[in-house]
Amino acid sequence: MHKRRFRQFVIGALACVSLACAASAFALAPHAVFAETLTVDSAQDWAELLSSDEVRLESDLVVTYPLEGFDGVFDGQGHTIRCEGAAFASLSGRVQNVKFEGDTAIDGGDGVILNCVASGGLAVGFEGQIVASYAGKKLEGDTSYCVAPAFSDAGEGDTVRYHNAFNAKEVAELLERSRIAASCAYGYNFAELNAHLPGLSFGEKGYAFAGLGEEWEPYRISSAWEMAYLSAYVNGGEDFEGVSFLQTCDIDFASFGTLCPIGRSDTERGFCGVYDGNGYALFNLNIDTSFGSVDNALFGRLGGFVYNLGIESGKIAGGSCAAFAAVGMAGREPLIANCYSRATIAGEWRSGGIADNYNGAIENCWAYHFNRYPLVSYAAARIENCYSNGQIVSGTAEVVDCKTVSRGELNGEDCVEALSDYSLRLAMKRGGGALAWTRGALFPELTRTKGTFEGSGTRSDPYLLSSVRDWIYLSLNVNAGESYEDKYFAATADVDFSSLDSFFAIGSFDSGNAFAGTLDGCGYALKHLRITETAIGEIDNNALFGTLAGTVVNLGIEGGEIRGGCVAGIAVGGTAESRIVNCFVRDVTFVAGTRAGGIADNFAGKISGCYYEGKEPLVSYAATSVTYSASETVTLGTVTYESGNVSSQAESDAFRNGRVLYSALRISFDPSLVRYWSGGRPCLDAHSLAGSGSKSDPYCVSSASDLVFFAASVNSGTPYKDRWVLQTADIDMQSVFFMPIGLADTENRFYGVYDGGGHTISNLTVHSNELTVKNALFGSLFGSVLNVGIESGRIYGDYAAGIASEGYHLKTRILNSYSKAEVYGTVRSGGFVDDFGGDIFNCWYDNAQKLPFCSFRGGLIYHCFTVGDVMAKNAASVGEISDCIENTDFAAHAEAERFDRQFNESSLTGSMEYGYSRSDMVLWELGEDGIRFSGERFVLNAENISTYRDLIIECYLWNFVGIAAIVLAIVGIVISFLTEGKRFAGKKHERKHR
Amino acid sequence: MRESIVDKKNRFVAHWKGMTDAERVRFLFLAVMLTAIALFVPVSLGIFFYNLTIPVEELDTGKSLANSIPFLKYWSLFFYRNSVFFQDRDDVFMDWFNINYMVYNNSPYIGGDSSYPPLVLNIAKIFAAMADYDFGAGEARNSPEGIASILTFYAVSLIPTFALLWVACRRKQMKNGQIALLCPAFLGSVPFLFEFDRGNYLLIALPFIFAFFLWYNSERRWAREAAYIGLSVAVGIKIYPAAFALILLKERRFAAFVRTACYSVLMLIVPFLFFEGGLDNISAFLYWLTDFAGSKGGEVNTVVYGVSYSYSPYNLPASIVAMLGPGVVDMDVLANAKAVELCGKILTVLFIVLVFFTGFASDRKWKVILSSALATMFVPSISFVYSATMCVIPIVFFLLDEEKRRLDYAYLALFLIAFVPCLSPYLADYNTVAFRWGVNLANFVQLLSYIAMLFLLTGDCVARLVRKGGKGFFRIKKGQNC
Repeated sequence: MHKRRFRQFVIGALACVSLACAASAFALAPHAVFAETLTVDSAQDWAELLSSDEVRLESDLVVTYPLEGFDGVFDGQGHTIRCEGAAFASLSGRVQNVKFEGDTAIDGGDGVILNCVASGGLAVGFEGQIVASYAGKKLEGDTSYCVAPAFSDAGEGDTVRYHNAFNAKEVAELLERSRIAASCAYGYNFAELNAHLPGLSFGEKGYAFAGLGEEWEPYRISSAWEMAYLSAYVNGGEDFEGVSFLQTCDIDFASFGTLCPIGRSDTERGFCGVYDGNGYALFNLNIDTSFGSVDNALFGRLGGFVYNLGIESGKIAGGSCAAFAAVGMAGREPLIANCYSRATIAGEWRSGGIADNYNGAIENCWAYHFNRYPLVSYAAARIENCYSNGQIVSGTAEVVDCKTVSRGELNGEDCVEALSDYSLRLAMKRGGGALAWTRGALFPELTRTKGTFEGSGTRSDPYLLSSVRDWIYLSLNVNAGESYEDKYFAATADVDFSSLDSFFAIGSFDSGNAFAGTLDGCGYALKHLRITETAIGEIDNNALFGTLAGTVVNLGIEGGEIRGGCVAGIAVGGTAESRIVNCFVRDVTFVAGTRAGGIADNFAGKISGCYYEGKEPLVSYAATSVTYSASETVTLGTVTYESGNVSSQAESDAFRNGRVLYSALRISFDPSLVRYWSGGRPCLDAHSLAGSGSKSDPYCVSSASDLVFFAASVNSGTPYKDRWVLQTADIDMQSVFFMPIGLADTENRFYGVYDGGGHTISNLTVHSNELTVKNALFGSLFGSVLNVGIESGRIYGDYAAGIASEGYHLKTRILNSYSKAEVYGTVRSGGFVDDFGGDIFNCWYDNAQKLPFCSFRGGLIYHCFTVGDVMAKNAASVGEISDCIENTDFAAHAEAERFDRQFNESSLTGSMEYGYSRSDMVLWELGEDGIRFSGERFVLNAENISTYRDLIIECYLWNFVGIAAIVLAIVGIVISFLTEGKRFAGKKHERKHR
Repeated sequence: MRESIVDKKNRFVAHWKGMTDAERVRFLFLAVMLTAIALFVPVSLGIFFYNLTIPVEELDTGKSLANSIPFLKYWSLFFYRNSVFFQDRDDVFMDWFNINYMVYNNSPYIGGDSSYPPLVLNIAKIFAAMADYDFGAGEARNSPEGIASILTFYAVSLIPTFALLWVACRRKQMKNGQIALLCPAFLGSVPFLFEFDRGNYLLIALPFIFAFFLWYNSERRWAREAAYIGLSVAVGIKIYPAAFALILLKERRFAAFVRTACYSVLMLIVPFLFFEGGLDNISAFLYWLTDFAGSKGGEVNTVVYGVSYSYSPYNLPASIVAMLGPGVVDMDVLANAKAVELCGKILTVLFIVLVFFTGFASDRKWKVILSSALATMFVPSISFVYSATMCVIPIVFFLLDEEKRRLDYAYLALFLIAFVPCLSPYLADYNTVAFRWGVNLANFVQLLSYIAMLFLLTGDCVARLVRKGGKGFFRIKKGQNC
């Protein structure tokens, strides 16, 4: 009982397993098992199947009845025909891409069997051509590039036999070569021929190169096979016009064998696309007549462009041969550029280093052959900047800057430099990647490195832009994707672009590549800049920067031409973070299809302090912020914020510089980067204060520009703590845009010592704006001011004063100074100070306005003179007022000796009290207009010793005391030694005798 | 068998009875100091680490612990500086680093506002060179080089001090073990803790003063001269140590006194020449010196409510006012300022007179030194806690003096009150508008103990005067020298 059940169980299990296996096999079975298979049993079946003379088989066939006398093109598209007898009889047309299974595929006829395989016999009694096909057994006919097993009964002719019947891969490779040969030799359309796979099966038609063939995504060539496929395509009729190829590595043909020229001189088929060798080379390139071509070269017929390719070794043999181009295509202007050859050229009739019978241009190439072939062995349209150890051309050509050189000269600095330079110009023209030439071991070599700059890209050591090449590198690198974010560039000279046909804009909106660093033009200009072309595939908006994501400052463009749809001088397009500051454009011709802007077009960043000479608007279309810029036509497009823009004719340099610094501060731009305008036409110079800031070597302020710069540096965060600033001349601030030194209610204050040196500031005008409401010479003073006089001026603001609007620091002091400026505060007006908690000593204020000396809060005000009240009536508080004279008529104190001596005595005695030496104070004198600085500091001499006798005693008292104390101390020591010696000698004596 | 507690106690009592008074005094001093330090240090460290968990902005006067006990608002249980090491994290060591920063531009008087004598600023130049002061004193303090430099300063100051202490003690045949215990006893005392917290340059004067008292009476001329020069160096560092020359006057060593004074003058004047401005700096120095005393001591709120951590009698009336708090004292600050200031000035004058009297009238060397030390604390209008480090010297000589009276136990108690580190309430709230620090109880008690010392000395001298009349009154007893 149990045994039976067990047996039943086993049987049932086996049945299940079998069913499962069958189901699996069913699911996994090749498609072909269930592929649609048609059966042709009669002529009528064939008639129904054939709709035209061009037949494309969509499925496998089982044929029991042959197709008689077919004279069209039967394309099996890689499918299988299983035939019991023959599938075709008396074939007069062409059968291609069919796999035959049966004893005999084609019985008789004189047509063409192309790219077919037959496991059994392929053709019997066939008088036609069999090309690039395979037969396991019978293969009768005129065979070309066919494959058959060794020792089979395949026919004679150009048949390749293999020796290992079981090496399917080798068979497939041979058949692939045959397929290529079929196109190359016979011109069959390669795209119509199916590829061969191991096992006598077919793949896809043609060959799928990686890439898209576009300028920005070219087809990639990385092997000899792919080069051969390219050749097959071209020779099969595809000219690849407008298609780009890019070689991605060196290619060695040693194991591949012979390559058919890409395009043939004896046909009209040639290559019309773009082949970019990308700096790579071909090795062991072997081209001969085995495919039937006569005049041979890498490109048998060239109608397109070849760049950046080298042929290192190999042999090109034939009739008239050359390395790169045997023949140029009529009606086209081919170009071979940046290429070189060292291959052996073995032409029976002519041998050319680069080209033979060529109607195109050859630029920046070199060729070196031990036989000294000419670079061009017959003719060319133009040969420019080429080098050869043979003749340049043995026939006719326009030759420009070419030279016959020795190997040493070829690899010398001059040649390599010239090659490199030209290479960049070519890249610029193409908008492609930059390749440079470098000196190799024996010959110049192409390098694919990016252009490099001198410098390290930091603020202190920026990348330097000093030549056309540097600017080209910048353009090419940015366009290749390098943003240079957080990097600094600095121009070191004016650059003349006359020799460059067209410069490519740095960055573009379409590619998304933009310059994101900081470019300091350092006051230099780009001259005769032509931007007339755009990279293929991009919108033709042109400017120096196609789109800007960084900062451009202190740069000019003088002369040149910019063409495009939307054009501008500096930038056409920019991100919100971009800045154009202190730049200028003039004498530039804009040829715009849509619109043109002098400085920028459609700019989302901020433009400030720029200058444009021309009839175009400063900024066209739209901008986020345009401030303090000048142009003849200040019309702007749609600008979100604009302020302070003026007509250029209304400007003086001083005014422009002040506004530029102000505008820089307004957009939080480091004013130390900004350069100054000067001269009849704007030019930019660097600015800094002389001196190191110590008391013995103070920073010197000697002009309006210095004062403006000093104010800007304080306002941008330089506190000058423990630093001395010395005014060394009277300064006239007429028409100067001035910001107070130190911004009230901010952290940006002056903490150092400003010594006016007894000089004056006249015509000081301070306006109220969004950055400054508390205005005076010093908006916020936390340091000291000495010896300063404001001779005249107008100070506006909400809380305005003469010398200082606010100051709270314990050591804030104003000594020995005066103000005669008019003050107009909408809320408070102080003749001298407004909200000032420090010490004011020995100062005076005089103006017809008769404002209070201090209008809000005062600290300690000692020995001051004022025409009005010392404190305003509604002042908040005051520390102490002592020894001041208010509401005084200065004329009443015009007793020369007494008045100026009072001031001088006070300053000299008080100087030490405030931590300054007497020589820090500038003395006063009484002039025609009243009291003024004498220009001299206190120095004790024979002339003034009687005048300052009492003062001397007071001032030098402590010096006398100190010296006297030292002398007395020394005397005291000596005396005490003398007296004590006796005393202790006596005591010693006592102890001895105790 | 193990000794029982009773046996131990009996043994101790027997030992105690066998001790001389001097030994007992030494024993009590060490026992109390070391016990207090042993208790204080862990608690202080605990509070210190607790305070580290509190954000700096909340670590304000009294807020960290006081808020939990609101009824103690004016007597908040905030452990003041002497009991918590480095309480004010932002200001630790800054006395030292600020001085170094002053000399950074070589013009601390004319180009700055320094009130320190020039000799100490020249010494500061050496230490200032050890760290980077380009970004200010605070940044220098926060750098490893800065910390290394102040530790060097402490070592340079303390090692010679305790070496001289050892010399002095060995002269009296004190045991090395006892000498070794004296070091932590002093290092853990209130003045030294405050000194470490502030880093004041006064510390470097201490070995010079100590050396003076060890060798001013030496039979070797070069040793005597070195002692005089040592004292003059101390005067050059802090001026107030000039009071220690009192002992030369008392011993009628007028030539030595004159010579010391002359050395001091040279130490005060000559170093000016090494700064920008030369002797011109003298007037600036005097200006800042009076300005500091005037401004800090003269600010209205500090006059009325006192300055914390100050042992000057000028501070005493204000401290009492602060202790009484608002509601008792009229809060019209300006109206009270003059009265309080007057009281402070009167007390200052009185105490100065007393210290000089006791200095001349005392018969013990250590009492003369104590009078001088009190003079250094009582003369200035503001005299911070670290100035009491000078009292280490009289205490050492007190401990080494073999002759003891019963009254000496009172002195011992006062010394201990002044020197023992402890926890103390801190009066913060309404003093924060003043000179930053309010008065605290322990500070006040210590001030009273110093005043009590002075009164004790005075009473001692007066009693002796009454007993002995004027004969030999102004001489030091024989056998007082070490």
